[in-house]
Amino acid sequence: MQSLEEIYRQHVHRVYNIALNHLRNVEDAEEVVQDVFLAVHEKGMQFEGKSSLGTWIYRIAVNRSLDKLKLRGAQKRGWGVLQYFDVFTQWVPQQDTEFNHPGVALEYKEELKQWFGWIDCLPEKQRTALILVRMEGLEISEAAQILGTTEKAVESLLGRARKNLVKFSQKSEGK
Amino acid sequence: MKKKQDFDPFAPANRVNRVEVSPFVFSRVVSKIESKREEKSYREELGWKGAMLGSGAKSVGWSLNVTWIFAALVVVFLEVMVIRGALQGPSTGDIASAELMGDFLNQTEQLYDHEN
Repeated sequence: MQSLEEIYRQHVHRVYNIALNHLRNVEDAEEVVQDVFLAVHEKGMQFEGKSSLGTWIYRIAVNRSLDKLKLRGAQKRGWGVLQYFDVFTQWVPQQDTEFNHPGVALEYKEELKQWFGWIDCLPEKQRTALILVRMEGLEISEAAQILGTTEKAVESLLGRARKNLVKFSQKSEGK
Repeated sequence: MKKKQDFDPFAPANRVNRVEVSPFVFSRVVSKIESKREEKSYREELGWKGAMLGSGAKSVGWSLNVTWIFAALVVVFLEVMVIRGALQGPSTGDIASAELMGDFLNQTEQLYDHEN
């Protein structure tokens, strides 16, 4: 049986990049990495071996990243309401929505900021399929296992994501 | 302006480089695991102490309950005795002896009157 350190060394790179591409924030992505390997340590006994260990870990990474995104959205909405009241604005912390992706070179920063903005508008599954297949370079079959769906469904998700991105780009060009 | 067919909406994905995670993250994972383990053992210890205290409290509560039940039974028993005593009239034997005593007193009185 592998030790946690071995599992960590084997999978951390992909877990971190999955989280980073979902969240575009170093601190949040590192938090997700910590949460994922804490869960691996705690729930290691629950791993049934139906899928590969990597698939199981990446599924946790995707779920934790999506949870964090939802939490971020909820916090944004919550603080947004509070900001209507002048009294609270003094102590309301500013949400860190800054685009902070260390994998994006400076010359592409503006272009990719816009592109990631479109990705944020995609439905959850389309976004995750795109990140797993096109950004992480996973096989469609592996992405299907992570998403808990079929290969055909992943291909369809990617097709719809492509159409939506084209639509978003046309809209932004039309402005 | 780009033609629609030239535009690959997934192309920007190729411009996102893969990133190495900070080497300190694993030590943070380990420290989190350690702190959780400590917290768990502390909770278990507290739980054990709590269980001990709880069982003590339970036995005290149990003896208190027995005392109250016993006291209530005694009160009920006494009340039943009192009520029974109040409801019960004098027995026929008592009445007969009282009548005899009355007769004796009357006769003694009459004898006294007669002699004087």
